[in-house]
Amino acid sequence: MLSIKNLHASIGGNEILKGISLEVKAGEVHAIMGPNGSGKSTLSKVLAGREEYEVTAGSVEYLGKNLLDFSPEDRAREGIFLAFQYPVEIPGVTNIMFLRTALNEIRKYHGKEPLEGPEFLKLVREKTKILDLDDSLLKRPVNEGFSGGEKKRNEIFQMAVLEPKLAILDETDSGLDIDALRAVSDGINKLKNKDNGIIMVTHYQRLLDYIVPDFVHVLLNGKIVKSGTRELALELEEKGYDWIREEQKEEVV
Amino acid sequence: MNEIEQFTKSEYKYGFSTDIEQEMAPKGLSEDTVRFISAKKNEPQWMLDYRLKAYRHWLTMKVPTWQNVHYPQIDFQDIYYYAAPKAKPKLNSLDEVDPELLDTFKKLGIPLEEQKLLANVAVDAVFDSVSVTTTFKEALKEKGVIFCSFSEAVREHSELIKQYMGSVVPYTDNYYAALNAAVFSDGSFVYIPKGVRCPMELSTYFRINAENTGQFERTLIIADDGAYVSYLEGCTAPKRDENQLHAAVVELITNENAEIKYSTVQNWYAGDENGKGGIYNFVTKRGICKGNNSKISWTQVETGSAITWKYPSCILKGDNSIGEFYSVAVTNNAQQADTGTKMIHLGRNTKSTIVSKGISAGRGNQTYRGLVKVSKAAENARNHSQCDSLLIGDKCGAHTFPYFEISNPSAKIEHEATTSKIGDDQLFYCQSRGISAEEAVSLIVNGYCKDVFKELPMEFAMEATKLLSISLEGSVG
Amino acid sequence: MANDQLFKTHYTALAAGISGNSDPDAVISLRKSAIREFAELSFPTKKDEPWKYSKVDGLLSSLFSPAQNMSAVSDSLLSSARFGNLETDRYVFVDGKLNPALTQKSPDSSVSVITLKEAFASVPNFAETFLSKSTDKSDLFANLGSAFLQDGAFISIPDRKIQTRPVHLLFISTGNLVQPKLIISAGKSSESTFIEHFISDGNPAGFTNVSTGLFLAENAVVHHTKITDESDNGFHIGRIEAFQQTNSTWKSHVITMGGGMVRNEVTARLSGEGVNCLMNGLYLVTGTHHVENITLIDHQKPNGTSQESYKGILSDKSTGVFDGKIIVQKDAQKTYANQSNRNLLLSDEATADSKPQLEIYADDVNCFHGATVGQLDEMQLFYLQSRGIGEPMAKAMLTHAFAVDVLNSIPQTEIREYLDQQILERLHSPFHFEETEV
Repeated sequence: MLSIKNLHASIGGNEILKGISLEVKAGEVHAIMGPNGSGKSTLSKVLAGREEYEVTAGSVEYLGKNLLDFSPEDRAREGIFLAFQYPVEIPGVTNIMFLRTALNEIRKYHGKEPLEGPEFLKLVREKTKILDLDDSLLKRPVNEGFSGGEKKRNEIFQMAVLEPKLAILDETDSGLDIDALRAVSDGINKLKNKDNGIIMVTHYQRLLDYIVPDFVHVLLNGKIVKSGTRELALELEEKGYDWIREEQKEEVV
Repeated sequence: MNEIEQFTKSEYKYGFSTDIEQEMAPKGLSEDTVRFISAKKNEPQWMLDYRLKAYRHWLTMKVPTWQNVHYPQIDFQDIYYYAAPKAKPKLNSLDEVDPELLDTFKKLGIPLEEQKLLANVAVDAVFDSVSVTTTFKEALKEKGVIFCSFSEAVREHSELIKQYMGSVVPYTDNYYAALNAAVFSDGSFVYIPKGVRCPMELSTYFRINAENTGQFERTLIIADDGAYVSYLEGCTAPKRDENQLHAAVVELITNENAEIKYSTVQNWYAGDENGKGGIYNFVTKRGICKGNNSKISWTQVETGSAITWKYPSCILKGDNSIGEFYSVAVTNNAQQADTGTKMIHLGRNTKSTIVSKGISAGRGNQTYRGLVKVSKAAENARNHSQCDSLLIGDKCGAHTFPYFEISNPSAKIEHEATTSKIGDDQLFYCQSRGISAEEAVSLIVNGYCKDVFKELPMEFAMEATKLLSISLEGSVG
Repeated sequence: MANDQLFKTHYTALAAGISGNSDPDAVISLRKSAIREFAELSFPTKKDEPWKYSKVDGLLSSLFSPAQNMSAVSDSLLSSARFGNLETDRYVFVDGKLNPALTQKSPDSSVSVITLKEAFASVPNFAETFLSKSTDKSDLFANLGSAFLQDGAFISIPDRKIQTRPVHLLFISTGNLVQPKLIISAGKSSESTFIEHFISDGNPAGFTNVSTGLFLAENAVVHHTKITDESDNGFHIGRIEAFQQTNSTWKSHVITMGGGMVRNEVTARLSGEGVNCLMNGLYLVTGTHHVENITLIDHQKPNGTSQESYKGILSDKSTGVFDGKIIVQKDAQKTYANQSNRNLLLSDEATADSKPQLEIYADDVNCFHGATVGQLDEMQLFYLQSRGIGEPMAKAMLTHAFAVDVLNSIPQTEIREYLDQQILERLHSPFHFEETEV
């Protein structure tokens, strides 16, 4: 469903992504790992359409369309969902108002009628149940005054309601204690199915204990330098990233 | 004698006067006074013409009254507009400076002998109306830096003076700027040529000595493309029962990529505890960031003067230019201050920062007044202002009057202000650790001012810290 | 200055012509002295600090006269000014004059609304106790109002009465010189809600110059909302001054949504101990319109708290002004005061002027103020877009969110919803707010 070819992107003249290629098929879970500053978050923001990043070369094809042509909202309407590393606080806008507007905009894009209040509430209640969330969350302003863990759970809750085809989880595990991590991963696992793809961007393999990836890619200095399976993640956990850096150097020599 | 009384009695350290033979202009102000001053300084005709134009304009103006300070009307005919230590006509070396004068500056802690000076500070000493001496001239000359008295600059660098004098603060700007342009007697001139980082701090030390005199100096600093200079200004005056007027003009100009850092520690005589005497400090200070990527930074520590009334300002004309204003103002006893800044955003991506810390004690009244203006063309202007007031005692006042005029939607302007007193719990905590109330206040106030002090050059920061404790003595009840 | 003269001549002549045969002597002498003051004061200019950013000089070139007859009001206009299904006691003032035929009130209402003339007859010392006290003699427009003193109402609620039904004071202008004077007197430990609501019939030019004095006795609670939504061609100057006795609470909301030139002056005098004052304001300015808010919170006694938040949303070529002052007098120890003004500039040609001021003479206080001017937050916008919400709607949502907390302290849901809908309409929002019950 997603095909990234030789993607280059920069911000303020600094090249961050230096030629990334990646294929994601429906039903697959990909983990992208790498040390800080390797470009992981940039990749997820570029895919979601953050304008401050400039794509200087390469292509991204999504369900047969050129993804880079779409505005951020149209990407979302086409089924891409980014779970933010730092979810944004929006005082004054309640979660329920936010979600209902988003869902109905997406429905409109696909020529569907908007969901009326009661129907919408029914849907939302189902989702809160799946994720074991408290209803009071709905009345609160988007992410305002949420703890780190609550913010991440709220991201997954939005994902549950919007039902994306391709979910990009940007460091969704960071800052979570073990209980919160378990709750968040449970949620993600419940939402996973054969028709959607998931890209997990993470620093640690801890998350991968809960959500088992089909593929693991190592991002270093703006490039994917190694791909493998779950075992690669375990190896990284044990040995850190240095050995890959060494390997890289040898290759260059 | 109780503690409070003891502290209130602490003396203004610089309150002595120097007995030195003076040459003075006749009292009062007229065209003749203006001509007298100009003649005394051997000025070219164009300078006299400029002064006369300013004088005639001044006659048409009214004394401003909008500021939040109160004082009896100034009799402009009861002031000496020129006073100079009688000395040899030309000073080439310190040996020729009157030993009385050298002694005066030594007492003020400003030794003028170069070998004794703090390394890396060149000083221009201004005594009443004239510049007494400028140190390290030769060393600066090597780098192409011009640092001299204003009078000398009028004679030796007339092209620069003609081009820049009055270009930032025209004589039509305000009442006291017009007065200054008519009767200014001396001051400092600095020119830093292209690409030069001035190798040392430059400093002017102002001293009012003579009775009933006004001091009207001008400072003009030009930093050419890529140049940098840090400039310090210090001031004291003897204790006298009459009020004395100080109406200076400071103009700063930065060309492309240039930076001027201007620091003031103002410790003019503040008057006695009953508000008798002291300096009226009515000063116009303004800089223009003319070139792209240039920067002007004002830092002021205002502890002296009976009345302080000034707004060091920045016109941010060049794209990406930066203006900064850091201020600590202390008013104790009967002191009054109405001070702040103006940041005028004209270029694109300009940025300004305002940090103002006011401390009112005794019966002091203090006003922060500031303007942040973003013009229509000033894309992406940024301003952050923080104005805090601290009240010590229940007879003082603290007022915060910021103005914002924003005409471009891409501007991001944030202003915060607080007014509070030193917390009883903070004081108690210090005291329970064995610190006296006085010391605790000084400690807390210094902490409160640290955002400003850190902008000062090291030696000045130490002096400022000391000054602050002295100014606040006797303020804790 | 010729215009200045013309302005004065016009209004003094009109004022002198008001027939006052049946008016009490007190009224006639009040008018006379006001005419004298009016003639002597000069028209404010930008050099007068409280008028620095004012555009009131437009009044020099448009002169108005009082309405000759009471105009009829259509049912559709009346029903458009309803707050959903909220039951209110409604009093309708047409061009400043109370039209009793349009009054709707519950029989058990404890609020009394009478004309000024009736008040002179029935309230002892009415002029001294209420009228003179709430008229600033140094203000040109206050004097202009007094020079024509006739219209308006005296509204009172007795001690210890709790009036849950809001009192809706609906002012309909048909485009004339409209100068009502309102006096609201809230008895000890009473609680009440008043809505001053200004609309126009059509889009006429007109000049509304209204003055409201509120007197809150000990421990009284008054919710007070002023909604200005008059013609785009009109001028509106409103002065509200509240006098608060010990432990009283005044919650003021000043919402400006329409009008060519609107000036709101809101003053709270905290003259008793332990007084609470909430001053919120929202100004939504479009086109080439101009709105200025001049507020003053005067802490005179200890232990008072004031909380002020004014927000401006400025689009097109509009200008918005906030000029707010907090004074803490020497005696007002242990005062807590917090003032904030935030502005959203939605277009390249809009201007926001802001002047928040603290003037403090007591030392044991906690006072804050803040001001911001900016655009919508880019990260928030992106976040909404990344969830599929289109840019225009995302902007409307964020703008609405920016405004909404100013309304949160209005107790009646129906009024909040009414204002919400009005705001969204003004923003041409594709987004419609609906409170979804969870």
